Amino acid sequence: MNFPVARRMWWLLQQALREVVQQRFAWILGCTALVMIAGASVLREFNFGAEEGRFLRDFVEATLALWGTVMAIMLNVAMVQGGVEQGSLVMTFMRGVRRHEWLLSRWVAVGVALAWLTVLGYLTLGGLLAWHGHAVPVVELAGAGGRMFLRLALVSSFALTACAVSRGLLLATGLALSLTLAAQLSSILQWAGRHGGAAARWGWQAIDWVVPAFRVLDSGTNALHALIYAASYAVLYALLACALFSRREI
Amino acid sequence: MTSAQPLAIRAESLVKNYQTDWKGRRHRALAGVSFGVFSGSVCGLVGPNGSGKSTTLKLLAGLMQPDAGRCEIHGQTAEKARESGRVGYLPEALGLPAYLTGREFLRGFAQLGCLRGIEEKITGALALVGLEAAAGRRMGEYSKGMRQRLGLAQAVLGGPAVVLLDEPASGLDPRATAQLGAAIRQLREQGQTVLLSSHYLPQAEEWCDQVVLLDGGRVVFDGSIATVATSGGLQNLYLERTVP
Repeated sequence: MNFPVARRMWWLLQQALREVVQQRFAWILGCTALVMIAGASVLREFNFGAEEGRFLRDFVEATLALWGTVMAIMLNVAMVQGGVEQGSLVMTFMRGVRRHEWLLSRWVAVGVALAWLTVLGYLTLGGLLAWHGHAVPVVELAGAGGRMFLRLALVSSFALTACAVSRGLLLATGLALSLTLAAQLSSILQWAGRHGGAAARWGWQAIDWVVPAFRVLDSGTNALHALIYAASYAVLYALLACALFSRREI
Repeated sequence: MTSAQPLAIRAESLVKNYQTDWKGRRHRALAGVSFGVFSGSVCGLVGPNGSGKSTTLKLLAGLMQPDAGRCEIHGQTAEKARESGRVGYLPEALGLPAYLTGREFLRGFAQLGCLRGIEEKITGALALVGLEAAAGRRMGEYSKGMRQRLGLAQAVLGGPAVVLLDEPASGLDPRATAQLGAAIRQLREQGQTVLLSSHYLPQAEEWCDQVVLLDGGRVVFDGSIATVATSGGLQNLYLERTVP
């Protein structure tokens, strides 16, 4: 007799979250906040005048986007590939856990970690704006935080799929980075598709269908559309990862 | 052990290939492995490196699917037996989370397996492998031998009918090896069936009722320990039947 699925998933999620904490994630969060505060202090040395608030925001968001992408990929690789290589997941499977349950629990745990990172980043940004005497647009920052989280969740889905399909750490990291890059450069890909020959057009079109475009998550787009778009792609990639991982030999 | 005893483990014409590269080249790990293990006995799976011992155990544990053939545990498919908790498995590569204590580690698996009387079962498993005193310590402080014994405790937790052990004596000192032998004998006394792979021929001879010798993904000898003795011992059989 085994746990019902929901309780089993909860158990797996708790273990996965514990592993995230063991990857020194709290330290990483602390260091991220410190880097943002230190960077903002350096920025104050320059005279941006009335534009200072915007520069601060751009700096924190760029840091968060880059650091969040690194974290989304590295955490997935460490938790999925690490589990496979150490053999610890085999013992879990012997207790009736299904492969997709194990994989999804890791994905959700990384998602929770990325949510913490996003919340911390935007709280730091709000604090920095207030500290430097600028107005804090709470609703606007909350919306931007949501979009940032969706972007990182997509990167996490790419990394999960890359881990499911590749056996080595480097290959998984490279594949996840390639997908992230394609998503980031979607505007250029679209332009190249429009101006290239027939083969290029079809090639770029295929990439445009397979890889979601980060430009859809920009602040100018409709929030609901961005949410549905990113969530759909993230879930599709996670399901693809489950299907691939179920067939993989361990 | 008599032929009237039911078979606990049945491997029938198992074939398994591994893809070795992107071009689709395949390596045949098992080329029609067949054998059976009687209920309540201890069987040793021996053979050179790459002979297919670990692959056979993984197939019997229901962790992989064979390309051809079938494997049964007490009449169930290996996968069903795994899902119903009738098989315990000690993998060769044993990664244990360093931040958990031995008892916490076993408790997690006991909860996952929905076992009743969790604490008594954990205490029983720890006593079997002689780790009661170290159960409260974090696994990061464990020696290789202690980790191996804890892995064995995990495999026998909840009293599965069949226990599969992949190189259980690997990295153990003589005292720990003797403890492992005692644990395996106790499992047999409790009526559990044990299939273990080993490179240590004297231990296999001492612990097992039956020996299956693999070479190149094929069974080159399958017989009782009495037959092994009349054939001049396991070492002799190994050197005679396997290709250098």
